[in-house]
Amino acid sequence: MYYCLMYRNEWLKGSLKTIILKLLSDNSRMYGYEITRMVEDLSENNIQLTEGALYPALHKLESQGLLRSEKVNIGKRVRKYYSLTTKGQAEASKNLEEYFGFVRTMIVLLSNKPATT
Amino acid sequence: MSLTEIQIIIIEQELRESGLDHLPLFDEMVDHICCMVEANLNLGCSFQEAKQLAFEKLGPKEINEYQKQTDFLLQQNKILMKRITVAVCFIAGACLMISSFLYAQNVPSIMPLSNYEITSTFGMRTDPYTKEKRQHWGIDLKAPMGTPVLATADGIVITVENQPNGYGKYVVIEHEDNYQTRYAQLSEQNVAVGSKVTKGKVIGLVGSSGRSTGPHLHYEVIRDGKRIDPISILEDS
Repeated sequence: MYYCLMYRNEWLKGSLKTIILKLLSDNSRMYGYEITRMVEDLSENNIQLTEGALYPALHKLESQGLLRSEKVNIGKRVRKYYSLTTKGQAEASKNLEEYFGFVRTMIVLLSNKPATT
Repeated sequence: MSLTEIQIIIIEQELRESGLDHLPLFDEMVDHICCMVEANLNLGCSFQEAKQLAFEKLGPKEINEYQKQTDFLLQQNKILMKRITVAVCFIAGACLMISSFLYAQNVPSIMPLSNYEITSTFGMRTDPYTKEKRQHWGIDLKAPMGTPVLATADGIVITVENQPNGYGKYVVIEHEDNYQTRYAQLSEQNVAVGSKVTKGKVIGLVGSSGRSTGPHLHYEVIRDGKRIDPISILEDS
């Protein structure tokens, strides 16, 4: 189970990058748990990211140079904060714009009835 | 509400037992679970309950998935390490080659004749004239009269002289790293003082021009002002 089954996995899977980039462009730095909480809050608990999906996605974006991370000691444990690189900022705004375009197109596509042939 | 050190250790242990053994990702997961436990504590749970809830949410399936998904990262690290290793080996190899090349050019590491017979080695020997035991400060290479004599390393000619009762016609070349080489008993000296020579260049011809019983080259290597056995620094020795 990648996500809480409020929505189908495959829909969310393709949206995860957009979600992460958008949250990080609104917040200078975040750690993994903070991201899951914020997604729950903003989606009114309709979307729950799971660890098995979120962290690999974060690491992948980091390896692609879109995110950078820093480790901060919190008492006896280590917290890894993620933030956008310059490349990540550019990608975030481009990605969001494209995503909205995609959603609008999908609404049009799925709302219209095909003309009878 | 913040977890105590012991509570964190308990969580770490339980996480290890769950099978999450990828160390680079372990700390991050510990922090995540600690956050979950803290949130549950804030709702009024006991630590045991809070921990149990957190691990229920993060079941073994989820941990497996997490591990599977992050395997590629470790693989990437391995590939990176491999690349770094290859690069380091390459650079080390290149340095070695360059230094051995420089060594080979500057150090008299070849023989001054292409065809020869060693008739007398470095060290104590019976003098062919006096039949007394004496130190021999070079090596004697027997070769036909007129055989070309080669510079054994890059350098500058510092002496071109004739000592009929000793070295005969001889040439001394100075090399880097405080090396000098002496080529004696020549029939001809084909270089002048101050000329630059490269390794393998003909500097004279074999003869018997000094204190000698027949055509041969008397060859000496001098390091830091002391004569050493030329054989000891040959490339293949």
